Amino acid sequence: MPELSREEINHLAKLSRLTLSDVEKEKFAKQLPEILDFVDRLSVVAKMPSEKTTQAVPLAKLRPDEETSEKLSLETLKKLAPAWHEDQVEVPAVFEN
Amino acid sequence: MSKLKTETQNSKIELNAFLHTELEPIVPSPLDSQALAQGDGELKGLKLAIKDNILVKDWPATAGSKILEGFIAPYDATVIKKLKEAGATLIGKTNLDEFGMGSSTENSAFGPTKNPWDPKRVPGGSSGGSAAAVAADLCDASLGSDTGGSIRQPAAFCGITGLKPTYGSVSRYGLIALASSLDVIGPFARDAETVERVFAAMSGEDNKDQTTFNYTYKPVDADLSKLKVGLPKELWELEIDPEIKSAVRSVVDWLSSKGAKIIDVSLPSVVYALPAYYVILPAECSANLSRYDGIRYQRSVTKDSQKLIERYMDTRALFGSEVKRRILIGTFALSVGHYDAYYQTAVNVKDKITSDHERVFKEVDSPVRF
Repeated sequence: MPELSREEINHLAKLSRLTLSDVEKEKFAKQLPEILDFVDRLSVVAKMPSEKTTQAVPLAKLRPDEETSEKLSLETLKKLAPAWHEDQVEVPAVFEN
Repeated sequence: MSKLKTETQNSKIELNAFLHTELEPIVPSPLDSQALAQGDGELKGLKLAIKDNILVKDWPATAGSKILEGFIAPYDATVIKKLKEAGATLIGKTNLDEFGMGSSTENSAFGPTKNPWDPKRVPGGSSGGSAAAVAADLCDASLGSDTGGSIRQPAAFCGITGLKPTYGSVSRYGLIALASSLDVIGPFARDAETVERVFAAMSGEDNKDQTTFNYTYKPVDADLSKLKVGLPKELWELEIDPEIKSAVRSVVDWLSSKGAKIIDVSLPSVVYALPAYYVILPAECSANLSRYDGIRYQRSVTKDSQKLIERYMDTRALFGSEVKRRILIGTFALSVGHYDAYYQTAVNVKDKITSDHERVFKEVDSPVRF
């Protein structure tokens, strides 16, 4: 696989929600195709008969009686969030005005 | 006593095996379990160090990343709860490659750990801090986690014993996720007996992790003369350091001298394990690490009049280079047009590796692995 173009690496960074420096973009544009070339040796076994993946992590069994996690106190939760306003987590605006 | 303590403290700093060196040890109390109340507890007095991607209530947990700096765990991982109940004393948190991504502990955001046998060498990774702490006699045992060799390889590099348990035999509840279908917590110690004691106390089914199965550890007195050992020909054909190959060969010869039957077996798919891992791990970690959003886990980069997406992107700039690389690969492998060629193919290969092993386990008791 050839080196990724600047547009391709920018698109991938956008999909990944990562901000990359120019140095990182240059480095990853070279490294990613090398890793994918190594992975391409899997293509020889791509024709293996198999079922479509329905779950990434196979569960040992489903437990309808699964206990709910212990509840964390408001005090503990407050410590875990960077900003707090009237018993609610404060986050920046999602939409522009 | 004080001299020994000073040496230990110095050693901790020189090796950089421990993070958060200001922590006071957690000594279990008789209120923690019935066994301890009765003066028992199979791990009473055992000094245990914990990899910094496993949650210990009220202690920090950074997973070796700047993005979790300042985060204090609000609850105990299931393994920690069980080990406290068994009487183990928790002495500190150990260094690791960021989120477990690496094989040398050089990818930690808090500096590399050194190998106690030779500080110019690496201790292996990603559980390098846990392995180095045990090898340097700073604790009796430690916990690591293994996703693709992160217990096995540092145990070998530091000359100690490490166990990568079977997936599902130990709860992952409270382990900071890297690749959820592969992650497993396991113990290190200087001898196999201590590893066994820690594993016996921490393993078993957990309602908080639905991938655990009904399992209780039972010691087995193996009769070597009745043991059938498999030699997978595909692994012997790989290019492996001759010193390691000959060491493994001598173990096989020893088993044979004790009467074990050595049988040639075939695991044709096993040579594709590494390229499949190079797809499955980044795919899962790109999804798992999306949770570090600058809202949860305390740490965030905040600037005035930021939009939510800007907060997300700015906070994620705290990830190290290796983490960014794997998120990019995972995103690529899961994206439209590449999913079937990469992720689906890798999962098919994983299924084939599983079925190959199931077949071999019908022929022999255990295959020899490198």
